[in-house]
Amino acid sequence: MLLEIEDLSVKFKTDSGMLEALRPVSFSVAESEVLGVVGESGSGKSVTNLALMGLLPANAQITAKKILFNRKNLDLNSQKELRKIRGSQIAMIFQDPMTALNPSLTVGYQMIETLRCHFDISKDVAKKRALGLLERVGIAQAEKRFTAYPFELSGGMSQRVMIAMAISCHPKLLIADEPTTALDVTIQKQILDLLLDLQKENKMSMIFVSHDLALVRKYSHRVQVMYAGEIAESGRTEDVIQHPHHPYTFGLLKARPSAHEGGAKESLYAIPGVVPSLKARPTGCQFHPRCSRSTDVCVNVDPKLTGTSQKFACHHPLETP
Amino acid sequence: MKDFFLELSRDIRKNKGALAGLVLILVFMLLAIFAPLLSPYAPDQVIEGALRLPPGTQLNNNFFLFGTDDIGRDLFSRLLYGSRVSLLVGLSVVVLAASLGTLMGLLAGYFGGWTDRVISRAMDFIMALPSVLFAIVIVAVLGPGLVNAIVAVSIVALPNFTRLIRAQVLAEKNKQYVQAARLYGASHLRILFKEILPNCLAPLIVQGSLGFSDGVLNCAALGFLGLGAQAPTPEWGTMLSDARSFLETSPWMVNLPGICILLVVLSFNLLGDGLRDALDPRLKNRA
Amino acid sequence: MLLFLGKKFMEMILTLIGITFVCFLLIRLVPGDPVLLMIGERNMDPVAYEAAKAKLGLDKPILVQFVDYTGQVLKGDLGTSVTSKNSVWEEFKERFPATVELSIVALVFATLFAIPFGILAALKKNTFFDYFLMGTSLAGYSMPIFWWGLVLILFFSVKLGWTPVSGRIALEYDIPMQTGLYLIDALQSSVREAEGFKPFWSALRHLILPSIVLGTIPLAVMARMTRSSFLEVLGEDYVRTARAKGLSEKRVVLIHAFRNALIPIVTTLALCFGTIITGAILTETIFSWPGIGKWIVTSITARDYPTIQGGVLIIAVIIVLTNTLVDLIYIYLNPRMKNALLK
Repeated sequence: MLLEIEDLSVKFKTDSGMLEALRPVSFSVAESEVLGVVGESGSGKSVTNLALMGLLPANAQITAKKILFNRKNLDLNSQKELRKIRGSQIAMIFQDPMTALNPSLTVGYQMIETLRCHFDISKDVAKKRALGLLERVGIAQAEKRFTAYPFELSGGMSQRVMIAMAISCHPKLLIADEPTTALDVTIQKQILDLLLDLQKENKMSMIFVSHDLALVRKYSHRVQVMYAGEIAESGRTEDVIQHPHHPYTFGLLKARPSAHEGGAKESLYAIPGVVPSLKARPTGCQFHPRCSRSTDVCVNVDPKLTGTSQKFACHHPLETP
Repeated sequence: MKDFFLELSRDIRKNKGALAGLVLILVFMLLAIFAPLLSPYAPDQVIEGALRLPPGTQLNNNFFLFGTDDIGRDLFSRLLYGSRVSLLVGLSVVVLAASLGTLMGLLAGYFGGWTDRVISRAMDFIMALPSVLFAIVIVAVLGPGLVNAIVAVSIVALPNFTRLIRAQVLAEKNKQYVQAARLYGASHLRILFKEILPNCLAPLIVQGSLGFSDGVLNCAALGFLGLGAQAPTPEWGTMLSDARSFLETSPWMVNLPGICILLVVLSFNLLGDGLRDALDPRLKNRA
Repeated sequence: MLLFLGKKFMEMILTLIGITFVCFLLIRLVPGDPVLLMIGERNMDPVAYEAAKAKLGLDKPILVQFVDYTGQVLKGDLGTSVTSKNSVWEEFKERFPATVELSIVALVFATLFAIPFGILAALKKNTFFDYFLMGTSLAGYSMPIFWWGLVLILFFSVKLGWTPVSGRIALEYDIPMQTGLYLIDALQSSVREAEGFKPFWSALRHLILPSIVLGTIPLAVMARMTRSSFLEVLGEDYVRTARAKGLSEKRVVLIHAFRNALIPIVTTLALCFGTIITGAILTETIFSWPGIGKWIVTSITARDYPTIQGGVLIIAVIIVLTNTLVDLIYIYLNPRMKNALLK
């Protein structure tokens, strides 16, 4: 296993009290594996990643029983330790590429500084490598883009630059937090294909966060469904998609508009209810207010993640053939 | 409206700076209101043989808490009455600038076109000159004196209010509730005063507090330059100017009025700042 | 780009015309006879009065007078001072360097302290350090600088004797004036005459207290602006990216954050210019600093109307020019706008 996380929880200290953003979650990512993480806003999917990188704001309280990265212990509260692995061992690309790059520094500068931060090389060598990387991620006229400012680039191109920067130091794990949500649909496929390509080529592990099940299905080996700061279900992508056990997963699958199944005539399905606010969490199972299968035990006891290759946290899981 | 003030008081209480400012302001207001009762002497009363006595001196049956000045007047009494002058100055400046400024801002923002152009140019113009300089020029034309100083400082404070209200009006003008009001036939005046103005209250209060402190400071500056309140009016700035030559021998004559100015200005700045932080909608939603 | 510059230029010209008009009106608004005010006499015999009136052009219609006045101003004739009988322009030129020197040193002092203080306060947000710094700067712009100056004089000049009370340089030094900026002229003369740096140090010692006093409010304002600008920038996405790349915190703050935080800080610095002029008026009065601030004040007390009119006009023009210059620099600094204009 490349990454092993046991009982990671994140709380935020606010004026309205302690808010639990991430209930203790445990999961792992294997070498060269793509883990897709699906969930709505507030599910905790982004918080998990930010916690892993140590990029949460100062009022965040992170606790974990065990974090093993590359078989070494990792203290998520030590900025010193994290800085050593950020960028070089674990890299991250963010949702909105237009705001993720510094507007007053050129693309080239931002790429070179990443390289020189982790490798002891001269500016010229760094420039050569950077140009090579830009070409690899599909940016034509790399020389011209090198001296450009981020606002001169389109969304798709900016994201390619971000990807180039992220892989420039050969990280073992790449965290892609909704990398295509802010981009046109036509560009989405290009970017994701590129990511998958790079992943295979560099034997990188990847955590691919998205709210779009269809994308996750296509691009990840395993998938993890999160809801309200907990893991609802996880397992091999095809298994989970074909045989979901958790009602929430089932709801997500059902809610997809389908162009094939004569869907134009049917009305879109939406899971009734809303995601609970962090300030007013329901008791027991977090999903029970929206679940048609909930009973008393669901109201009182929060189900634990159980299962072997396919895990789920539900008192009344779906039994699908 | 009641909810607005309820929320306002809650915001003030949350922000310690604003609270401190408010408390100080209340203290000064009480001192000013009860000055005649609290001061042992009249502000221009000369006590025989009590020239430039340091604070805490006892002379015969007279006790001078803050000492006396070069003419023999009790400094404590003068400072107390001075608080009346300063608070009056601040209040006048804010009332004048806020009312005229709000009116002009409303007109400029709502009607646009030439009205806006003329008013905005005039305001840009006043802002082009630094405050004290402009005030000095106005006083040069009108002649020295406390009233003229207040007028001058009010004119200098105008643009802040005008621009503020104008910006608010422009933001609100195109909102749906205004358009709805127009649809059911509300007159311009009604829309201005009943719909738009209440939404301008929050920044207006903040600016009012800050304008108060600016007003007191500017008037004191004019007094210091000999262009504001004239002797024997116990204005703190004028008192400072008179005390200058006695800096070495009787420093309390200089320090005490200065500290008073500092405290009053500070308290209004604290309140204004605290209110601004509390009322900033962006900060409100930050966890 | 040219269109934009042209527009800016027109705006500037319009403002300048407006200011000239107001200054022109100044004397005519003061209660009293304009002729007497300009000459500075209480009364004059009728013949001399008529002659003066004609000479000053006050017998012509108002608009003609204004045009004439504008013409005169553009030629550099701003009238004659009533007190010194010299040309107002000459008086201005004599005193201007003193104010410039004082203002520059004050702004340098303010910026040098404000930026580090502001950055530190932002980084240590909500700690004691932050509250202390912000509290001090609030006190800084709440206090009357004329009092602050007196307090510093009392402490440093009178009690400790470290700094002189007034003037620009000790009387015993007589250095040839080249630029009018004592620091530079003293340095030059030291180098040339090889007589040691005593005059330079003397000039410096005279500058310290007034610049601290003058620079206090800009320091306070800029420290707060730096702090809030930094706080805003530190919350931006690209700072998060910079951290995610594994860059050192030093680099993140000083390179990534600083560049973008700089823009509002520079704007504030420019706005401080107006504060400096106001402050100069008061500071120069306290320290008997022979600059244009003190000049304006004395001319008001002396009812020297031509000087007031001319002095205010010059100052206003300088401010308008500076503001326009700052606008242009701001656009240059902001790569997005610069690019948009160049295309």
